[in-house]
Amino acid sequence: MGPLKVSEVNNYIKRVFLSDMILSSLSIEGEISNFKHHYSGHMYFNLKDEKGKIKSVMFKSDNENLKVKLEEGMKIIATGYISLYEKEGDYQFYIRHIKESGLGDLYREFEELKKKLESEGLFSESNKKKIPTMPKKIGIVTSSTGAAIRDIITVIKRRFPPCNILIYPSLVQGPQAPKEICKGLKYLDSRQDIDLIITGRGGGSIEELFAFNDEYVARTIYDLETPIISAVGHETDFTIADFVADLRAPTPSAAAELAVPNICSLNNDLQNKYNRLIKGILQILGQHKVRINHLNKNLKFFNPVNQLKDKRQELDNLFKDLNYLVEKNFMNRKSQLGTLKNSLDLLNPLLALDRGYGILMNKDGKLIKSVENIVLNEEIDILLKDGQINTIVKAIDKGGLADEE
Amino acid sequence: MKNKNLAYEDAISKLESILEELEEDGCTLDESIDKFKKGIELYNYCNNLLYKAEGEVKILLEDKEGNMLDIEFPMEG
Repeated sequence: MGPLKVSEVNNYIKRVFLSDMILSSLSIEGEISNFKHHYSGHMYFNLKDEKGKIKSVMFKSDNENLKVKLEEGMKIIATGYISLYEKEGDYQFYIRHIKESGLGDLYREFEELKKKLESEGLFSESNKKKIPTMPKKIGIVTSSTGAAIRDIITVIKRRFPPCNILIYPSLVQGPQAPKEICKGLKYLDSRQDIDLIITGRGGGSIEELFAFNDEYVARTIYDLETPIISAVGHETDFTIADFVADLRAPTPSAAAELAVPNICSLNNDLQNKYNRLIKGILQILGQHKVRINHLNKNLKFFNPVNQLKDKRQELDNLFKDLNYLVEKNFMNRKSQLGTLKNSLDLLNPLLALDRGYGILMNKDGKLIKSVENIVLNEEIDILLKDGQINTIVKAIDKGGLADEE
Repeated sequence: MKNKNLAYEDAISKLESILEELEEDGCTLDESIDKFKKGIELYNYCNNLLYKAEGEVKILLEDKEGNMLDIEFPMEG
């Protein structure tokens, strides 16, 4: 076989490309680089990944109907065929359709489902059940091997040791996951001993969290009788399950925090109440003791024995008073008597005898006070202090003492 | 305790109202002592709920007949 012309080779290669099953119709996922929208209306750019790139072109007739605006760095899935640009000897990817790769569609589906369920009232606050403050047994639907279940158990055991945990092991990603999750939720809901359910998984890509954006899962969660906390991925991940659940926890650990109370603060509160109880009763007992002491004092005060003592003392006092009065009276009388005696003494004729006077009496013992009562030669007695003299009257001169002068 | 299934929160709020009555002190001594006794019972009841027993961690296994069994969950480390 003789030598071929360049153009013949290029033409041959082009035909090989176009007859190839794969190259003649394929989709390629890649990132746009070197994007140029030529004034002719055609678009030229490279599709690339970490290891390589393919020259790509999208003609005006095809790109006129594009729904997305292409730009540098955008990840797309492009459909078309591979052919040769004979003039340059370059093979190129001739693009007929483009859609934003993966994420775009998932987001759109997510938004549509969210809107639909929201309009049906599945997210309504009024339909949300109250999360029990102290669940006795928590049912958990998640993978039994992931970090999520370890985190949940660890936090629950740390915060509130008496809580029981029952795990329903379930796939949390892949096509079987939604069905298993629903089965687990329904099973736990049917049990009488479960008073709270947690379902979720650790962080992952949006595709990995897909099971929790499933419509069947959302409706199952909505139909549960048992309160449920969702705990999917990280703080920034929101899934449909989060919107339907009675409470959304940002992570599995956070779900455990929300599910059970902290035993330390419960205990502090309880001990505080205990102290108040003791203090309260001691105070009441103290008050009663004071009251009893007071009554006891009153009782002693009114004790008849004491009253008797008082009366006796009163009697003593009266007696003393009486004594005093009697004595005082006596003394009064005595001094009165003394006074009388003095007066009497002044009048006592016998006292005059002391001073040298005498008393004249006739034979009959009558006092002679005047010469008129005497006759001459009458026998009279003179009474003196220390005896008496019998004498006879020799003369009588009439006239008083005053007349003598 | 009569009401074995009394919820912790209910027991706590009963205890709280007993405390308030006790602290208000409008009762006879007998009533106060009765209240105190009831308060201690409630305290013991709550304390028991918190510290009586460590909760169990179990995992469900489905046997061949499709019965669900609660099995002890092995927590390593």
